[in-house]
Amino acid sequence: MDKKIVVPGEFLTDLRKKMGPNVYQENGKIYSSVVGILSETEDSVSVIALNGSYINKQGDGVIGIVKSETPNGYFLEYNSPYELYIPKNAITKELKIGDIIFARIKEITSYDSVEIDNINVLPKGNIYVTSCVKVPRLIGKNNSMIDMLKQYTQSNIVIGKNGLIWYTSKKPELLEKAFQLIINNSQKSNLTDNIKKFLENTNSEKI
Amino acid sequence: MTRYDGRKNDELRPIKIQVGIIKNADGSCYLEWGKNTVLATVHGPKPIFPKHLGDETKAIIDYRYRMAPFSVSERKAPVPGKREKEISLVSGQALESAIFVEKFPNTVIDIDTIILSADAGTRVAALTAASVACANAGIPMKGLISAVAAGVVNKECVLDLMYEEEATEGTTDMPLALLMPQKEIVLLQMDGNVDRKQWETIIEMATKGSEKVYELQKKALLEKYPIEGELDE
Repeated sequence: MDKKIVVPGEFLTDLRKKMGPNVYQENGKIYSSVVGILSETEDSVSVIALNGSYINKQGDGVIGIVKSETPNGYFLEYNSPYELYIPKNAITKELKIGDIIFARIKEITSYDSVEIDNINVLPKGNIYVTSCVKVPRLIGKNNSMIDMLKQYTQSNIVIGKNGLIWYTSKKPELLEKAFQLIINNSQKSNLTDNIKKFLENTNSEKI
Repeated sequence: MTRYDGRKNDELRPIKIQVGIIKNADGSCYLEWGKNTVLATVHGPKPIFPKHLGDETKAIIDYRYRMAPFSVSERKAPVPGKREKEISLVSGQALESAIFVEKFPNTVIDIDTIILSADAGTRVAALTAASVACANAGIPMKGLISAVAAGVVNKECVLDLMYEEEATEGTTDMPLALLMPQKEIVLLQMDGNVDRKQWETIIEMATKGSEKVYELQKKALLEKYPIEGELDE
């Protein structure tokens, strides 16, 4: 089926279907609430957003940057409207402002606070910030995109579900350019193939 | 009656909308509406400071309508005046009714609109641009806000008044904003007098005008995300 882009308020269906993310119901009809790609099956309807901020979800691996320290813990920025809090007794190591953390959301305790576990301090590297909705395209089906990027740019990449990407690379400019291309074209089909062509062409030009 | 620029009574000025042109904002929109030019940006939802200004049940919409000092023929003082503050307030409330604010408690969504050049109807142009910028930022909304002004000039009902018409003595000007496609009125102001028949005519005109604006907004958003074609840098 062809892809279809919808805008906020666009009528999707008046059949009784399970509502996925980014849709709302009014008077028995289902509408889209964001700009995104329509994803409709026989019994469910949802919209894949093309931009937006991160909302906590249980089990997500997220990347955060330490922003401030209190006597009992640390506050992290993680590309979300809210802050992430790590209590000092949850970690063995002292953190510094600017440290990059990878952690898993264990439980959502209220709309703005979460409990996290599997806390890891990432080594020194670069951070690339994008919207969390682009993450599935950056990873690709069965990690195809991220594996390809690692191979062609000789990089280590860790992607947080919240849209923060940590990387170290021997070809950082090429990698950032590839990130940019994926993000700007996330609504298009055959993205992995097109990015592969781009990486191959750029690599051969440099040789 | 022929109008100053030769338009029909129910004709809009040419409108051009560009989406996502400012890199540093979460969402943005540039709009040209006749001689009006507007730039709208959206930041957020983001944490609110100081925290006591936050609302535990919803996000705060901080809408700013500002006219650039060079937007009018005589330089306008850059300090926001009463008019700008009033327009910011009513437009913010109009936009709030379109956004699912309850999804982001204790946050703020900053919406800034700057009028770069003004030729009557700037509040509706700013609101139209702001709603496109919000959609571009991925903020969940019930629909888009499409706004247009209608009024009575020399006893004739006209759509989308330009400056010369607005400055004519005895003119009635009525900015109207609709939540589309539901067609709910979210902003309605009026300056001047009309009789019942004129009132019904200008409301109908403005509603039809808003529908045209909505189509242009939709088109601009879809153009931003082409499904096929070469890779976009």
